Amino acid sequence: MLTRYSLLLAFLTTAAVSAQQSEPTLRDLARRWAPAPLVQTRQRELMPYPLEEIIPKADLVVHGRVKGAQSYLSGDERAVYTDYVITPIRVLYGPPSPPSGQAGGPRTVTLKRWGGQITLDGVSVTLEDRDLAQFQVGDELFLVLALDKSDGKYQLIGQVSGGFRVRNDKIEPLVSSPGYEHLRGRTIDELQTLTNRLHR
Amino acid sequence: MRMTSGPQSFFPSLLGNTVLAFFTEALSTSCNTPTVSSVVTRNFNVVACEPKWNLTGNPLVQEHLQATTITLYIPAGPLYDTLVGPNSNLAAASAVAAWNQALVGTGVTLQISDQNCGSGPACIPVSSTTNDLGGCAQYTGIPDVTTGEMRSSAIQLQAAYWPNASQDRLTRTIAHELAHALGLGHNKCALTNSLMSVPKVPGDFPTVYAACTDATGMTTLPNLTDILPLVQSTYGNHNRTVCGYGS
Repeated sequence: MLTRYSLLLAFLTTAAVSAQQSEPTLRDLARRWAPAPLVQTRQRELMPYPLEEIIPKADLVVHGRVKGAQSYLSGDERAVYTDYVITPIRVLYGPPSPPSGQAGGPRTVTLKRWGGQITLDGVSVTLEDRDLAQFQVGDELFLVLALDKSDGKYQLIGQVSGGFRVRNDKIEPLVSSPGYEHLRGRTIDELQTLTNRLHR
Repeated sequence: MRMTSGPQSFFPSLLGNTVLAFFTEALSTSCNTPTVSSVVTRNFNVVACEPKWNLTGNPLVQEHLQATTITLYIPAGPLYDTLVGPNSNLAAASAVAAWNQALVGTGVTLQISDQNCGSGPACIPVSSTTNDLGGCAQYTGIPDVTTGEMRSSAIQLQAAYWPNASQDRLTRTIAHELAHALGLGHNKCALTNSLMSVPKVPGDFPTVYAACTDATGMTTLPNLTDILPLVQSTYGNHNRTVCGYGS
């Protein structure tokens, strides 16, 4: 049974890599339809991950504010990512020292997300995640993050599940889901208690 | 080459006479607004509850597939065996048949093939991925921002879930992603469980794995809430106006 599953997984991985390599790059697509802007959208059969499932997996749970954002083309030119610089207001769980930045410098966290807008060979290229809009500078957020050791940047756990807006110290789901409505209005203090319990 | 696109009944049994009357009238109307006001009001509430058609570009246009035959390309192998099967009666076949029934009169027909049909607007490749999608599956599309027609699109299934998912669960996944391909967004109403709603993960300590492999409590095929937006959209042909089909 295990062998059969392993073979299936190997087949799927190989097929996925092969399929990806045959896909045109964003530069190819931008040139094909230039000068029209290129828009690529992404929607899921969304299944928001419960906080009880994602907080134990988190490397960093933080309440912070978006200080800056920079979009860029990926190395293989098949995606646009945006790096958000987050200034922590309160670290609910995470490494004891500042996650990034030099000692004595500002405590910041870099959050990397799929999507964003760039100009490529004179063509506007926008990748739009329709389940979770791009963050804006100034947004106050509650974030459940995992560290990508390959580049030292953080990512939302579950792509879209680990992001909430904060207003007046209470969170609001950014993903529209009946399964998240019970979280609306929870305070950062309450989430601190939950995080402490799950990371005990 | 194996293909399937046979019709299959999907209308829910709770469909009432008044609702059916409105639906029939909307299909046959031209640009004249139906005059049975009480029925219209009742159904408008359903439509307003979403799902709605995605808009893109400037000016805002509704996204849709071309008014032609669209092939869902599922490569031969484990994916095809699980989603279609030798008798073409498994999950993807059910989802395609249900949407074909809903799309009658729009000029859009869906079919399944195990032969690669390319990456153009008439082909939707289905593949498996080990990347975390943040859900059970995802749909990516490149709409023409001027016309709203999809130039290219694809469906990816999460490899961690689909090999262990029930046929009902896979039917929901394919039908849901096809609805995105057709241009439908999510149903965000808290109390409505349509095909396009985001289901509440069940259980005391729920896991996404369970929700992506078990369809318990979920709508698996498009119901009236999902289909009604068809008759109030420009769907299927961007020259149509927002007045229903037959115009």
